[in-house]
Order: sequence, then C-alpha cells, then structure tokens
Amino acid sequence: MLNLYKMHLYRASKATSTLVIGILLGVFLIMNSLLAAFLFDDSMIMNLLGVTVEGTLSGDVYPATVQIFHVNTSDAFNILITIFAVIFAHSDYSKGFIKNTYSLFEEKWKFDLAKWTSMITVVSGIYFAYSFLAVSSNTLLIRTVSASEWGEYFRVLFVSYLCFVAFVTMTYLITSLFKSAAGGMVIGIIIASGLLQTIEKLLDLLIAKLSGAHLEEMVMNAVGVGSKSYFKISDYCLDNVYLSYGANSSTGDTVRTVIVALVYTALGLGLVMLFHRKKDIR
Amino acid sequence: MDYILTTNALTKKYGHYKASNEVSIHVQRGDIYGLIGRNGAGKTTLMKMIGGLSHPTSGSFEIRGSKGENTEQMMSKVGILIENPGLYPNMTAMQNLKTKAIALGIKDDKFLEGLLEEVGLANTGKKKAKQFSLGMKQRLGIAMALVNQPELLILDEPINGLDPQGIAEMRVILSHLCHDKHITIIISSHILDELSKVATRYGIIHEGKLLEEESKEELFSKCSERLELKTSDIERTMNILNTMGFSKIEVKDGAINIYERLNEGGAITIALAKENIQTNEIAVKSEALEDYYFQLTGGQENA
Repeated sequence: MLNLYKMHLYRASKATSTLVIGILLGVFLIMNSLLAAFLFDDSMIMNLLGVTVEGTLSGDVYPATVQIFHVNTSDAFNILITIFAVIFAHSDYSKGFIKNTYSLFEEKWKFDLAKWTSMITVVSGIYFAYSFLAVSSNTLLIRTVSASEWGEYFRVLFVSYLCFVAFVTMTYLITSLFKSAAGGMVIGIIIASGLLQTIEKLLDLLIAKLSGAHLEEMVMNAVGVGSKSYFKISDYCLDNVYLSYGANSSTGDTVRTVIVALVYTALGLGLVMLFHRKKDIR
Repeated sequence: MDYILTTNALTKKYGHYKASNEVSIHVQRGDIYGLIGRNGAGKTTLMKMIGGLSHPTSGSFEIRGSKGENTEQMMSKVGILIENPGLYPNMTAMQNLKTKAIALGIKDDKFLEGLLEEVGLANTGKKKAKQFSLGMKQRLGIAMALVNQPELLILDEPINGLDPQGIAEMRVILSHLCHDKHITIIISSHILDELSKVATRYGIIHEGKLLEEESKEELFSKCSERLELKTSDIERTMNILNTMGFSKIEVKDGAINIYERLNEGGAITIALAKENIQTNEIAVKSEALEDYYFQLTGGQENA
C-alpha cells in the first residue's frame, strides 16, 4: 500500500494539473494580497469586506489578519481544489492506467486508502503552502500579526483544515460514485461555491416553521439573539460549517465543526471503499 | 500437462446477458494462445476476468496453480494490456514505466531502460506519450505489462489499428518474449490471418461461448488443402487407400478427406475403378482459416 501511495505522489508531481493549480493559486494569492494592500489600508473596511464576501449574517468584525487568512475557505480556493481533486481521483480511470495496478491488491480498500492518503497529502501541501504564503504576504503588505492573534489564527487554520480534508474526501466520493470527472466536478463546484447554503438555510427556516416558530423568532434566531433555539440542518452540512467557520466562531461551534468534519471524512472514505469492493474496471 | 492458466466454466453476466458463458480454456506454459472471435464475442470480458479487472459471476480460474482466493499471489506474475495501453499522455515512456514500477516497489532504472530497449523505445527520451504513434503506444503498453516480470502476458487486440510495419514489429516482439523470455502469452484478435502467424494454440470464442480449443496443427489440418473423395463404397475405398499407403485420411459428412499426395487423384480413381468402385466426385479443396471460422460461428453474416 505504501508503494501505491508513493506512486500516486509521483504521478501528481508529474501531472500538468498540479502545476496549473499551483500557478492559478499563486496568481490568485498575489492579486488578492496586492489589491487588499493598495485598495484598502483600513483593517475595518477589510473586515467588513470579508464579512460581506462570506455572506455571514452575524456582522462580527474579525481581526484583520485572521480574516485575510480565512481566504482559504473562499469560493475560488475551494473551486480550484475541487477541480484538482476530481482530476486526481479520476485520471487513472480516464487514462486507463488503473488497469496496470488494480489487480495487484486482493483487498481493494487498500487501493482506495492509498489513493485518498496521497490525494490528502498533495492538497494538504497546497493548503499549508498557500496559508503560509497568504499570512506572510499579508504581514508584509498590510500589517503585522499581533501576538494575541496567533492563537486564533492557528485555531482557524486547524479547524478549517479538518473541514477541507472532509470536503476533498466528499469530492473523491462523488467522483467515484459518478465514475466521471464532469459529474464530480459539477457537484463539487456547486458545493464549493456555497450554492447549497441557500437551500440549507431555507430548510432551517422550514424546520423552524414546522416546529411552530413565529416570524419574529425566526428573524431573531437568524441574527443570533433568539431566546428559543430550533434544530438547524445547516449546522450539520459540511459546506455550511466549513464556509461559515471563522475567527468569531464560538467554542461550541468549533466542537461541532470538528465533529462534522471528522464524520464526513470517515463516511466519505468508508463509502468509497465499500463501493469499490466489487467494482469492475471498464 | 503444465498449464499456466486454466479456467473452469468462467461466466460473466451483465443483467440477463452472458458476456462470457461457462468458458473453460487451458493455456500451457510456453503457448502463444490466440483467442479468436469477432468484436463483442466475449474475448475482452474473459481477459478482464483473468487479468483481475472484473469479477466473474460464476466459475473459477487458476493461474500458476493458485486459485482465485489469493489474487495478490496469483496476479504478481501476470502482465496485462487490455483495450488500451493505459498511459499518462503527459509523461515520457520512462516516466510511465516508473509510475508502475514505484507501485511494485521496483527501483532499478536500468531494468526499466532494458524494457524500453526490448520494445524498441529506448531512444524516445523526453518525448511524451501523447506524441507517440499508435504502434509506439502499444509497444509501451507491452513494456508496462512487463514491469512485474510476468510469466503470463495477457494482450487484448494489440495489433488492432496498427499499420503493416507496426504489425510486423509486434510479431517480432511477441516471438522474442515467448521464445527468449519464456513468457506465455494470451493474445486476442479478430484479424485471423495475423493471429495465425504467431499463435501456437487457439480458442475460438463466439457469443460468449468457447466453440473450440485446439493446437495450431489441429486447426491448420482442418484448414489446409485436401483431396475430397466421394465414392459408392466408403469402407472398401478406405481399404484401398490404406493399401496405397495413404495415412492422413478422415471420413467426414459422407466424404473421404485425404490430406497428403494431393496430385494422385488420377491414380486413386484408377485403383477404385479396378475394384469396381464408382467415383462420384474427386476434387482438391481448401479452406482458409477465415472460412473455417465462419463455418464454425455460423456464417459470414455474423462476422
């Protein structure tokens, strides 16, 4: 299994898609940092901009560096990673290379686990390199990070990373289920871009309404000052917890986000292994 | 018999359709086993099951004496090239080989260079696989299949789409692998003429079923030229032919087929006349491999 893991890393190192994603993320990072540095020198405006872009309803103002770092959970980053993950997960099938290795293992779960591990290794490398470069460039161009902000920074980094791993795992699952790069890419991009969040929020409202909530209560709940809490399905949807997690998230939110991320990762990987158990290679 | 592969009623069903229907083949060590069949006959399905890419619905197979329960042990000495070479187009020939070699824990670059040399791709350098001709891709596919130093090589339509030169090169490679490297080869094709130049044993497959399995000699004896003789008394004619020294004779469908001394038709007729046996028909007939195949599979309209 270790050899298969190494093989996937080798092919990733030679793949054009790795290079293209690297370049695109680099360009995205530079443009993001430069525009932020030259257009906005007020951290308050930056924060408000960040809040607007993310579409959170809380209106909390985050420490600027943490918010800038939080670009990792931006749509563009996730969409690019989705495309990369789908290509990575599907290329050995689409090119037919899978036929060279598939029969080497009696237990096919080893095959899937090796591929998943190598994919997570590659995207983690991209994630952390991007995070490091983002915080470095922002420190250089905008302002230095204060000592008190580092704690928040690493918390967001860690929790977002767990969500990120879960997100990539789900992309892997979707690609495997659809047996096509296009299917995996479309669904992955829909999730990454946050389009499902609207549906999830509406479902929250529906559940609250069915639970007997009045309009005023629902509005109060939505802005976080309601006295009565209702079950929210969006609290357990990976895309929502991932895209809405930030420096202002409470300890409860952090614990829930971590659990949701771990459950989705385990579920996604488990299902991939289960589906591939008796799969024929076409 | 030293069989490297035997299948026992190997069956693959897709819904109600049996792509492979209780196929039992026997491949001896050192064979170049030709699987003949038209497109959709079930050759690829059978090869995929043997190559570990597809799970049989029923039946079993043994490779090198190991049964299906231990795929890893069984497949460690099997090389496959099924449908297409399975290459990464943006990689060079060496990088493609190396990718598979890493999966197998092989670190010897010299060995990989040797494989490229064997298939005539030693000088491709930094040229990417996407720039290769079809023949080069097929040869690289064979090199990929050789990375795990197989004892059994499964090649699905490796000459399909190749130009005459490419086909000739492939023939040389296959012959070298079988005779010099002692690799047993199963090769499928619907180009009967080409297959007949390399294969030593044949399995004829049609609509998922194995119709016949025979050696090259057996098959060619059925396809070669013969003297077909029809007389008023077959039993006495056989005695006369025996006394004349004919030994390669068979009686089939009311006719006597003689497979030697085809120019002695006149002498046979005279000998029969002397014994008052009437010669109803005597003619030299021949049957091409293709004709034989059509006859076996139910006619040309099926091909």
